[in-house]
Amino acid sequence: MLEASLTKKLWHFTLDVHLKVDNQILILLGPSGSGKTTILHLLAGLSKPNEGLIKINDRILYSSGKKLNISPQSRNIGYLFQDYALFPHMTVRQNVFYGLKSKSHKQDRAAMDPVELLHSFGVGHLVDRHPGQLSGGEKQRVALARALVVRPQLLLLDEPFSALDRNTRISLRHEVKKLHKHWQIPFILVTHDEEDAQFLGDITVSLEKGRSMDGSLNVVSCN
Amino acid sequence: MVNPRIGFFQGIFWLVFILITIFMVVMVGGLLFYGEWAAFLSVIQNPEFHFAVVFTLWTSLLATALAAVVAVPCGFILSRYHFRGKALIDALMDIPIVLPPLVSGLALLILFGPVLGNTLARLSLDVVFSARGVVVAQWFIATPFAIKTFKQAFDAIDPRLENVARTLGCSPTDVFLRVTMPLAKGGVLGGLTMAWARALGEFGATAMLAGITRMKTETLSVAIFLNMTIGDMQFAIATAVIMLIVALLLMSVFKVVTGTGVRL
Repeated sequence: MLEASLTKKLWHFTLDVHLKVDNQILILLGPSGSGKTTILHLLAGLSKPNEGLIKINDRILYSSGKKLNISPQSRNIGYLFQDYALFPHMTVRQNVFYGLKSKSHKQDRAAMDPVELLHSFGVGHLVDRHPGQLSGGEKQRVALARALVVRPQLLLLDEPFSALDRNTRISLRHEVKKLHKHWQIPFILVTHDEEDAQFLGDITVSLEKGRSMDGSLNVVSCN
Repeated sequence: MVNPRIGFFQGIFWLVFILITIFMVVMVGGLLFYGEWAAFLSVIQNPEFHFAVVFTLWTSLLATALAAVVAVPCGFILSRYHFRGKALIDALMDIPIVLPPLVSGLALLILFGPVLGNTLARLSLDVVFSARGVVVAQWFIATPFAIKTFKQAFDAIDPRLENVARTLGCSPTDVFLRVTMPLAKGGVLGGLTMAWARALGEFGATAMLAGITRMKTETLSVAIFLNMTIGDMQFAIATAVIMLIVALLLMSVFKVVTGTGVRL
Protein backbone atom coordinates (compact mmCIF):
# COMPACT_ATOMS: atom_id res chain seq x y z
CA MET A 1 0.00 0.00 0.00
CA LEU A 2 1.16 3.52 -0.87
CA GLU A 3 0.61 6.32 1.59
CA ALA A 4 1.70 9.82 0.69
CA SER A 5 0.97 13.21 2.16
CA LEU A 6 2.95 15.93 0.43
CA THR A 7 3.16 19.63 -0.24
CA LYS A 8 5.35 21.18 -2.86
CA LYS A 9 5.51 24.86 -3.69
CA LEU A 10 5.67 25.40 -7.43
CA TRP A 11 6.08 28.82 -9.00
CA HIS A 12 2.38 29.26 -9.85
CA PHE A 13 0.61 27.13 -7.18
CA THR A 14 1.17 24.83 -4.24
CA LEU A 15 0.74 21.12 -4.76
CA ASP A 16 -1.12 19.52 -1.86
CA VAL A 17 -1.44 15.74 -2.13
CA HIS A 18 -2.82 13.09 0.22
CA LEU A 19 -2.90 9.55 -1.14
CA LYS A 20 -3.65 6.17 0.38
CA VAL A 21 -3.81 3.58 -2.38
CA ASP A 22 -3.87 -0.18 -2.12
CA ASN A 23 -3.01 -2.44 -5.05
CA GLN A 24 -5.20 -0.45 -7.40
CA ILE A 25 -4.84 1.76 -10.46
CA LEU A 26 -5.06 5.44 -9.54
CA ILE A 27 -5.57 7.75 -12.49
CA LEU A 28 -4.43 11.36 -12.31
CA LEU A 29 -6.39 13.14 -14.98
CA GLY A 30 -5.84 16.76 -15.90
CA PRO A 31 -4.53 19.29 -18.38
CA SER A 32 -0.84 20.13 -18.90
CA GLY A 33 0.60 22.10 -16.01
CA SER A 34 -1.83 20.74 -13.42
CA GLY A 35 0.97 19.05 -11.46
CA LYS A 36 0.40 15.42 -12.53
CA THR A 37 3.98 14.66 -13.56
CA THR A 38 5.33 16.57 -10.54
CA ILE A 39 3.42 14.16 -8.26
CA LEU A 40 5.11 11.20 -9.98
CA HIS A 41 8.53 12.91 -9.65
CA LEU A 42 7.93 13.49 -5.93
CA LEU A 43 6.96 9.87 -5.37
CA ALA A 44 9.93 8.55 -7.36
CA GLY A 45 12.37 10.82 -5.50
CA LEU A 46 13.31 12.83 -8.60
CA SER A 47 12.04 16.00 -6.87
CA LYS A 48 11.96 16.81 -3.18
CA PRO A 49 8.71 17.87 -1.50
CA ASN A 50 8.68 20.87 0.83
CA GLU A 51 7.22 18.67 3.53
CA GLY A 52 5.28 15.47 4.05
CA LEU A 53 5.59 11.70 4.17
CA ILE A 54 5.82 8.89 1.60
CA LYS A 55 5.44 5.31 2.74
CA ILE A 56 5.13 2.04 0.81
CA ASN A 57 4.17 -1.08 2.78
CA ASP A 58 5.39 0.44 6.07
CA ARG A 59 8.74 1.45 4.57
CA ILE A 60 9.24 5.21 4.85
CA LEU A 61 10.75 6.70 1.69
CA TYR A 62 10.44 10.35 2.62
CA SER A 63 9.67 12.07 5.88
CA SER A 64 10.25 15.77 6.43
CA GLY A 65 9.67 15.24 10.17
CA LYS A 66 12.40 12.57 10.41
CA LYS A 67 14.56 14.38 7.83
CA LEU A 68 14.64 11.22 5.74
CA ASN A 69 14.82 11.20 1.96
CA ILE A 70 15.61 7.87 0.31
CA SER A 71 17.35 8.35 -3.05
CA PRO A 72 15.48 7.33 -6.25
CA GLN A 73 17.76 4.31 -6.79
CA SER A 74 16.82 2.85 -3.41
CA ARG A 75 13.06 3.49 -3.53
CA ASN A 76 12.21 0.53 -5.76
CA ILE A 77 9.60 2.45 -7.70
CA GLY A 78 9.17 1.72 -11.41
CA TYR A 79 8.70 4.71 -13.69
CA LEU A 80 7.47 4.53 -17.26
CA PHE A 81 8.22 7.89 -18.87
CA GLN A 82 6.27 9.52 -21.65
CA ASP A 83 7.98 8.43 -24.92
CA TYR A 84 9.47 5.58 -22.81
CA ALA A 85 13.05 6.97 -22.49
CA LEU A 86 14.72 3.76 -23.66
CA PHE A 87 18.52 4.06 -23.70
CA PRO A 88 19.23 4.65 -27.40
CA HIS A 89 22.82 3.33 -27.24
CA MET A 90 21.73 -0.04 -25.86
CA THR A 91 19.90 -2.98 -27.38
CA VAL A 92 16.52 -4.12 -26.03
CA ARG A 93 18.31 -6.83 -24.01
CA GLN A 94 20.78 -4.30 -22.53
CA ASN A 95 17.94 -1.92 -21.71
CA VAL A 96 16.05 -4.57 -19.77
CA PHE A 97 19.17 -5.92 -18.04
CA TYR A 98 20.25 -2.39 -17.08
CA GLY A 99 18.40 -2.28 -13.77
CA LEU A 100 19.58 -5.76 -12.78
CA LYS A 101 23.22 -4.69 -13.10
CA SER A 102 22.81 -1.98 -10.49
CA LYS A 103 24.04 -2.70 -6.97
CA SER A 104 20.56 -2.47 -5.49
CA HIS A 105 19.15 -5.19 -7.74
CA LYS A 106 22.06 -7.56 -8.29
CA GLN A 107 20.55 -10.08 -5.90
CA ASP A 108 17.36 -10.22 -8.00
CA ARG A 109 19.12 -11.61 -11.03
CA ALA A 110 18.34 -15.25 -10.18
CA ALA A 111 14.74 -14.55 -9.34
CA MET A 112 13.77 -12.78 -12.55
CA ASP A 113 14.48 -13.73 -16.14
CA PRO A 114 14.35 -10.53 -18.22
CA VAL A 115 14.24 -12.37 -21.54
CA GLU A 116 11.29 -14.44 -20.36
CA LEU A 117 9.59 -11.23 -19.28
CA LEU A 118 10.20 -9.75 -22.74
CA HIS A 119 8.67 -12.88 -24.31
CA SER A 120 5.63 -12.52 -22.07
CA PHE A 121 5.23 -8.98 -23.43
CA GLY A 122 5.49 -10.29 -27.00
CA VAL A 123 8.80 -8.58 -27.75
CA GLY A 124 11.18 -11.43 -26.97
CA HIS A 125 12.22 -11.65 -30.62
CA LEU A 126 13.49 -8.05 -30.56
CA VAL A 127 16.23 -8.49 -27.94
CA ASP A 128 19.10 -7.56 -30.26
CA ARG A 129 17.46 -4.49 -31.77
CA HIS A 130 18.08 -0.90 -30.74
CA PRO A 131 15.18 1.38 -29.68
CA GLY A 132 15.43 3.30 -32.97
CA GLN A 133 14.36 0.13 -34.79
CA LEU A 134 11.17 -0.38 -32.74
CA SER A 135 7.60 0.83 -33.23
CA GLY A 136 5.84 2.91 -30.55
CA GLY A 137 3.97 -0.11 -29.15
CA GLU A 138 7.13 -2.24 -29.05
CA LYS A 139 9.01 0.54 -27.27
CA GLN A 140 6.28 0.74 -24.67
CA ARG A 141 6.36 -3.01 -24.02
CA VAL A 142 10.16 -2.96 -23.67
CA ALA A 143 9.96 0.03 -21.31
CA LEU A 144 7.34 -1.77 -19.22
CA ALA A 145 9.51 -4.88 -19.04
CA ARG A 146 12.51 -2.73 -18.04
CA ALA A 147 10.51 -1.04 -15.28
CA LEU A 148 9.05 -4.31 -13.94
CA VAL A 149 12.14 -6.53 -14.12
CA VAL A 150 13.50 -4.95 -10.91
CA ARG A 151 10.26 -5.93 -9.10
CA PRO A 152 9.05 -2.46 -8.09
CA GLN A 153 6.59 -1.97 -5.26
CA LEU A 154 4.83 0.82 -7.14
CA LEU A 155 4.61 1.57 -10.85
CA LEU A 156 4.28 5.14 -12.13
CA LEU A 157 3.14 5.60 -15.71
CA ASP A 158 3.41 9.08 -17.24
CA GLU A 159 1.11 9.43 -20.27
CA PRO A 160 1.99 5.90 -21.45
CA PHE A 161 -0.29 5.97 -24.50
CA SER A 162 0.16 9.52 -25.74
CA ALA A 163 2.66 8.64 -28.48
CA LEU A 164 0.59 5.76 -29.91
CA ASP A 165 -2.00 5.45 -32.66
CA ARG A 166 -5.59 4.61 -31.65
CA ASN A 167 -5.46 0.84 -32.32
CA THR A 168 -2.18 0.30 -30.47
CA ARG A 169 -3.48 2.48 -27.68
CA ILE A 170 -6.59 0.33 -27.21
CA SER A 171 -4.66 -2.93 -27.27
CA LEU A 172 -2.03 -1.64 -24.79
CA ARG A 173 -4.73 -0.42 -22.40
CA HIS A 174 -5.91 -4.02 -22.13
CA GLU A 175 -2.34 -5.19 -21.57
CA VAL A 176 -1.75 -2.68 -18.77
CA LYS A 177 -4.98 -3.79 -17.10
CA LYS A 178 -3.88 -7.45 -17.37
CA LEU A 179 -0.42 -6.57 -16.14
CA HIS A 180 -1.85 -4.89 -13.06
CA LYS A 181 -3.93 -7.94 -12.22
CA HIS A 182 -0.84 -10.12 -12.49
CA TRP A 183 1.62 -7.90 -10.55
CA GLN A 184 -0.72 -6.77 -7.76
CA ILE A 185 1.08 -3.53 -6.90
CA PRO A 186 -0.30 0.03 -6.95
CA PHE A 187 -0.15 1.72 -10.37
CA ILE A 188 -0.42 5.50 -10.69
CA LEU A 189 -1.16 6.52 -14.24
CA VAL A 190 -1.09 10.09 -15.50
CA THR A 191 -3.20 10.95 -18.53
CA HIS A 192 -5.26 13.69 -20.05
CA ASP A 193 -7.42 11.19 -21.94
CA GLU A 194 -10.78 10.42 -20.31
CA GLU A 195 -11.16 7.13 -22.20
CA ASP A 196 -7.90 5.84 -20.69
CA ALA A 197 -9.10 6.95 -17.28
CA GLN A 198 -12.50 5.27 -17.58
CA PHE A 199 -11.10 2.01 -18.87
CA LEU A 200 -8.17 1.62 -16.48
CA GLY A 201 -8.93 3.54 -13.33
CA ASP A 202 -10.03 1.97 -10.07
CA ILE A 203 -9.90 5.52 -8.76
CA THR A 204 -9.79 8.61 -10.96
CA VAL A 205 -8.90 12.07 -9.75
CA SER A 206 -9.23 15.16 -11.92
CA LEU A 207 -6.50 17.66 -11.18
CA GLU A 208 -6.31 21.37 -11.68
CA LYS A 209 -3.38 23.44 -10.38
CA GLY A 210 -2.23 20.75 -7.97
CA ARG A 211 -5.64 20.17 -6.41
CA SER A 212 -8.52 17.90 -7.26
CA MET A 213 -11.67 19.56 -8.49
CA ASP A 214 -13.17 19.14 -4.99
CA GLY A 215 -10.34 20.67 -2.97
CA SER A 216 -6.88 19.36 -2.04
CA LEU A 217 -5.97 16.10 -3.73
CA ASN A 218 -7.22 13.64 -1.17
CA VAL A 219 -7.52 10.00 -2.17
CA VAL A 220 -8.11 7.35 0.44
CA SER A 221 -8.93 4.06 -1.16
CA CYS A 222 -8.25 0.59 0.17
CA ASN A 223 -9.48 -2.76 -1.03
CA MET B 1 20.16 18.21 -53.23
CA VAL B 2 20.84 21.65 -54.72
CA ASN B 3 18.16 23.04 -56.96
CA PRO B 4 19.72 23.29 -60.47
CA ARG B 5 17.97 26.63 -61.03
CA ILE B 6 19.93 29.15 -59.00
CA GLY B 7 18.42 32.60 -58.62
CA PHE B 8 20.22 35.90 -58.06
CA PHE B 9 20.08 35.60 -54.26
CA GLN B 10 21.55 32.08 -54.17
CA GLY B 11 24.00 33.13 -56.88
CA ILE B 12 25.53 35.76 -54.58
CA PHE B 13 25.89 33.17 -51.81
CA TRP B 14 27.54 30.70 -54.19
CA LEU B 15 29.91 33.41 -55.46
CA VAL B 16 31.07 34.25 -51.93
CA PHE B 17 31.38 30.53 -51.10
CA ILE B 18 33.48 29.84 -54.22
CA LEU B 19 35.71 32.90 -53.71
CA ILE B 20 36.52 32.03 -50.09
CA THR B 21 37.21 28.41 -51.11
CA ILE B 22 39.63 29.62 -53.81
CA PHE B 23 41.28 31.96 -51.29
CA MET B 24 41.83 29.10 -48.81
CA VAL B 25 43.14 26.74 -51.51
CA VAL B 26 45.59 29.37 -52.85
CA MET B 27 46.77 30.19 -49.32
CA VAL B 28 47.36 26.55 -48.41
CA GLY B 29 48.87 25.87 -51.85
CA GLY B 30 51.25 28.82 -51.42
CA LEU B 31 52.49 27.40 -48.16
CA LEU B 32 52.86 23.92 -49.64
CA PHE B 33 54.65 24.92 -52.84
CA TYR B 34 56.70 27.94 -51.77
CA GLY B 35 59.28 25.85 -49.94
CA GLU B 36 61.87 23.67 -51.62
CA TRP B 37 61.38 19.93 -51.42
CA ALA B 38 65.09 19.24 -50.73
CA ALA B 39 65.10 21.78 -47.91
CA PHE B 40 61.94 20.23 -46.52
CA LEU B 41 63.60 16.81 -46.38
CA SER B 42 66.68 18.22 -44.66
CA VAL B 43 64.51 20.06 -42.11
CA ILE B 44 62.62 16.95 -41.10
CA GLN B 45 65.98 15.27 -40.32
CA ASN B 46 67.05 18.22 -38.15
CA PRO B 47 67.35 17.40 -34.38
CA GLU B 48 65.74 20.73 -33.50
CA PHE B 49 62.72 19.80 -35.61
CA HIS B 50 62.55 16.37 -33.93
CA PHE B 51 62.68 18.02 -30.52
CA ALA B 52 59.87 20.45 -31.45
CA VAL B 53 57.65 17.65 -32.81
CA VAL B 54 58.11 15.36 -29.79
CA PHE B 55 57.87 18.26 -27.32
CA THR B 56 54.69 19.60 -28.96
CA LEU B 57 53.10 16.16 -29.02
CA TRP B 58 53.61 15.30 -25.37
CA THR B 59 52.85 18.75 -24.02
CA SER B 60 49.69 19.15 -26.10
CA LEU B 61 48.43 15.63 -25.31
CA LEU B 62 49.05 16.15 -21.60
CA ALA B 63 47.35 19.57 -21.75
CA THR B 64 44.36 18.01 -23.56
CA ALA B 65 44.07 15.23 -20.96
CA LEU B 66 44.16 17.84 -18.18
CA ALA B 67 41.59 19.94 -20.07
CA ALA B 68 39.29 16.89 -20.23
CA VAL B 69 39.66 16.30 -16.48
CA VAL B 70 38.43 19.86 -15.88
CA ALA B 71 35.92 20.09 -18.74
CA VAL B 72 33.88 16.97 -17.90
CA PRO B 73 32.65 18.18 -14.48
CA CYS B 74 32.45 21.84 -15.56
CA GLY B 75 30.51 21.05 -18.76
CA PHE B 76 28.18 18.74 -16.81
CA ILE B 77 27.46 21.31 -14.08
CA LEU B 78 26.85 24.08 -16.63
CA SER B 79 24.52 21.77 -18.54
CA ARG B 80 22.51 20.24 -15.69
CA TYR B 81 22.33 22.78 -12.87
CA HIS B 82 20.80 26.22 -12.57
CA PHE B 83 22.25 28.51 -9.92
CA ARG B 84 22.70 32.17 -9.17
CA GLY B 85 25.58 33.73 -11.12
CA LYS B 86 25.73 30.87 -13.66
CA ALA B 87 25.86 33.26 -16.65
CA LEU B 88 28.73 35.16 -15.05
CA ILE B 89 30.73 31.98 -14.30
CA ASP B 90 30.03 30.70 -17.82
CA ALA B 91 31.36 34.00 -19.21
CA LEU B 92 34.40 33.79 -16.90
CA MET B 93 35.25 30.35 -18.28
CA ASP B 94 35.12 31.79 -21.80
CA ILE B 95 37.79 34.39 -21.01
CA PRO B 96 40.66 32.46 -22.62
CA ILE B 97 38.60 32.32 -25.86
CA VAL B 98 37.96 36.06 -26.05
CA LEU B 99 41.23 37.36 -24.62
CA PRO B 100 44.25 37.66 -26.93
CA PRO B 101 46.58 34.74 -26.00
CA LEU B 102 49.31 37.25 -25.09
CA VAL B 103 47.04 38.76 -22.44
CA SER B 104 46.15 35.28 -21.14
CA GLY B 105 49.89 34.56 -21.01
CA LEU B 106 50.54 37.76 -19.10
CA ALA B 107 47.81 36.90 -16.56
CA LEU B 108 49.28 33.40 -16.15
CA LEU B 109 52.78 34.86 -15.80
CA ILE B 110 51.60 37.10 -12.94
CA LEU B 111 49.73 34.21 -11.26
CA PHE B 112 52.59 31.72 -11.48
CA GLY B 113 55.31 34.39 -10.98
CA PRO B 114 54.75 37.03 -8.30
CA VAL B 115 51.63 35.43 -6.81
CA LEU B 116 52.39 31.69 -6.56
CA GLY B 117 56.02 31.61 -7.76
CA ASN B 118 57.77 31.31 -4.37
CA THR B 119 55.40 28.60 -3.09
CA LEU B 120 55.77 26.58 -6.30
CA ALA B 121 59.58 26.99 -6.20
CA ARG B 122 59.65 25.59 -2.64
CA LEU B 123 57.72 22.56 -3.91
CA SER B 124 60.07 22.29 -6.92
CA LEU B 125 57.11 22.88 -9.22
CA ASP B 126 58.30 25.96 -11.11
CA VAL B 127 56.01 26.82 -13.97
CA VAL B 128 57.47 30.02 -15.39
CA PHE B 129 60.02 29.53 -18.23
CA SER B 130 59.78 25.73 -18.06
CA ALA B 131 58.18 22.86 -19.95
CA ARG B 132 55.56 22.80 -17.20
CA GLY B 133 54.67 26.36 -18.24
CA VAL B 134 54.07 25.18 -21.81
CA VAL B 135 51.57 22.56 -20.57
CA VAL B 136 49.84 25.10 -18.30
CA ALA B 137 49.52 27.66 -21.12
CA GLN B 138 48.20 25.07 -23.59
CA TRP B 139 45.79 23.70 -20.96
CA PHE B 140 44.51 27.19 -20.14
CA ILE B 141 43.82 28.05 -23.77
CA ALA B 142 42.34 24.63 -24.69
CA THR B 143 40.08 24.07 -21.66
CA PRO B 144 37.28 26.54 -22.54
CA PHE B 145 36.85 24.87 -25.96
CA ALA B 146 36.51 21.49 -24.24
CA ILE B 147 34.04 22.88 -21.66
CA LYS B 148 31.88 24.44 -24.38
CA THR B 149 31.71 21.31 -26.54
CA PHE B 150 31.22 18.98 -23.57
CA LYS B 151 28.38 21.18 -22.28
CA GLN B 152 26.69 21.03 -25.68
CA ALA B 153 27.11 17.24 -25.71
CA PHE B 154 25.50 16.94 -22.25
CA ASP B 155 22.73 19.40 -23.24
CA ALA B 156 21.79 17.10 -26.12
CA ILE B 157 21.03 14.18 -23.75
CA ASP B 158 17.43 13.88 -22.57
CA PRO B 159 17.60 14.16 -18.73
CA ARG B 160 14.76 11.63 -18.52
CA LEU B 161 17.24 8.94 -19.55
CA GLU B 162 19.29 9.76 -16.45
CA ASN B 163 16.13 9.87 -14.31
CA VAL B 164 14.90 6.49 -15.53
CA ALA B 165 18.32 5.00 -14.78
CA ARG B 166 18.05 6.32 -11.20
CA THR B 167 14.63 4.71 -10.75
CA LEU B 168 16.13 1.42 -11.99
CA GLY B 169 18.45 1.40 -8.99
CA CYS B 170 21.61 3.06 -10.31
CA SER B 171 23.71 5.54 -8.34
CA PRO B 172 24.50 8.96 -9.89
CA THR B 173 28.07 7.76 -10.65
CA ASP B 174 26.78 4.65 -12.36
CA VAL B 175 24.26 6.68 -14.36
CA PHE B 176 26.99 9.09 -15.46
CA LEU B 177 29.35 6.31 -16.53
CA ARG B 178 26.79 4.01 -18.17
CA VAL B 179 24.25 6.44 -19.63
CA THR B 180 25.53 10.03 -19.80
CA MET B 181 29.09 9.46 -21.01
CA PRO B 182 28.30 6.83 -23.67
CA LEU B 183 25.59 9.12 -25.07
CA ALA B 184 27.88 12.17 -24.99
CA LYS B 185 30.77 10.20 -26.56
CA GLY B 186 30.59 11.88 -29.99
CA GLY B 187 30.54 15.41 -28.58
CA VAL B 188 33.24 14.62 -26.03
CA LEU B 189 35.55 13.18 -28.70
CA GLY B 190 34.87 16.22 -30.89
CA GLY B 191 35.63 18.52 -27.94
CA LEU B 192 38.87 16.69 -27.23
CA THR B 193 39.90 17.02 -30.88
CA MET B 194 39.18 20.77 -30.79
CA ALA B 195 41.06 21.17 -27.51
CA TRP B 196 44.05 19.23 -28.85
CA ALA B 197 44.07 21.28 -32.07
CA ARG B 198 44.04 24.47 -29.98
CA ALA B 199 46.84 23.22 -27.69
CA LEU B 200 48.89 22.07 -30.69
CA GLY B 201 48.97 25.52 -32.27
CA GLU B 202 49.25 27.58 -29.06
CA PHE B 203 51.90 30.30 -29.20
CA GLY B 204 51.04 33.60 -27.46
CA ALA B 205 50.35 32.37 -23.93
CA THR B 206 53.17 29.81 -24.19
CA ALA B 207 55.65 32.51 -25.21
CA MET B 208 54.65 34.73 -22.26
CA LEU B 209 54.60 32.02 -19.58
CA ALA B 210 57.22 29.51 -20.70
CA GLY B 211 59.41 31.79 -22.81
CA ILE B 212 60.91 31.18 -26.24
CA THR B 213 63.96 29.03 -25.58
CA ARG B 214 65.45 26.85 -28.31
CA MET B 215 65.44 23.12 -27.48
CA LYS B 216 63.84 23.79 -24.08
CA THR B 217 60.37 25.26 -24.50
CA GLU B 218 60.39 24.97 -28.28
CA THR B 219 57.00 23.84 -29.57
CA LEU B 220 56.35 23.74 -33.33
CA SER B 221 54.77 27.23 -33.18
CA VAL B 222 57.74 28.55 -31.22
CA ALA B 223 60.09 26.85 -33.71
CA ILE B 224 58.42 28.71 -36.61
CA PHE B 225 58.77 32.02 -34.77
CA LEU B 226 62.39 31.40 -33.72
CA ASN B 227 63.50 30.43 -37.23
CA MET B 228 61.61 33.27 -38.90
CA THR B 229 63.39 35.77 -36.64
CA ILE B 230 66.80 34.49 -37.76
CA GLY B 231 65.71 34.36 -41.41
CA ASP B 232 65.57 30.55 -41.80
CA MET B 233 62.48 30.53 -44.03
CA GLN B 234 62.88 26.89 -45.12
CA PHE B 235 62.75 25.61 -41.54
CA ALA B 236 59.74 27.80 -40.79
CA ILE B 237 57.90 26.69 -43.94
CA ALA B 238 58.60 22.99 -43.37
CA THR B 239 57.32 23.25 -39.81
CA ALA B 240 54.27 25.23 -40.95
CA VAL B 241 53.47 22.58 -43.61
CA ILE B 242 53.59 19.81 -41.01
CA MET B 243 51.29 21.83 -38.73
CA LEU B 244 48.93 22.54 -41.61
CA ILE B 245 48.62 18.85 -42.48
CA VAL B 246 48.02 17.94 -38.82
CA ALA B 247 45.40 20.73 -38.50
CA LEU B 248 43.57 19.58 -41.63
CA LEU B 249 43.55 15.99 -40.39
CA LEU B 250 42.33 17.02 -36.93
CA MET B 251 39.52 19.19 -38.28
CA SER B 252 38.40 16.45 -40.66
CA VAL B 253 38.32 13.94 -37.78
CA PHE B 254 36.37 16.48 -35.68
CA LYS B 255 33.76 17.04 -38.38
CA VAL B 256 33.32 13.33 -39.07
CA VAL B 257 33.17 12.37 -35.38
CA THR B 258 30.70 15.10 -34.44
CA GLY B 259 28.75 14.92 -37.69
CA THR B 260 29.03 18.70 -38.09
CA GLY B 261 30.58 18.64 -41.52
CA VAL B 262 30.48 16.96 -44.90
CA ARG B 263 31.46 13.32 -44.53
CA LEU B 264 34.80 12.36 -46.01
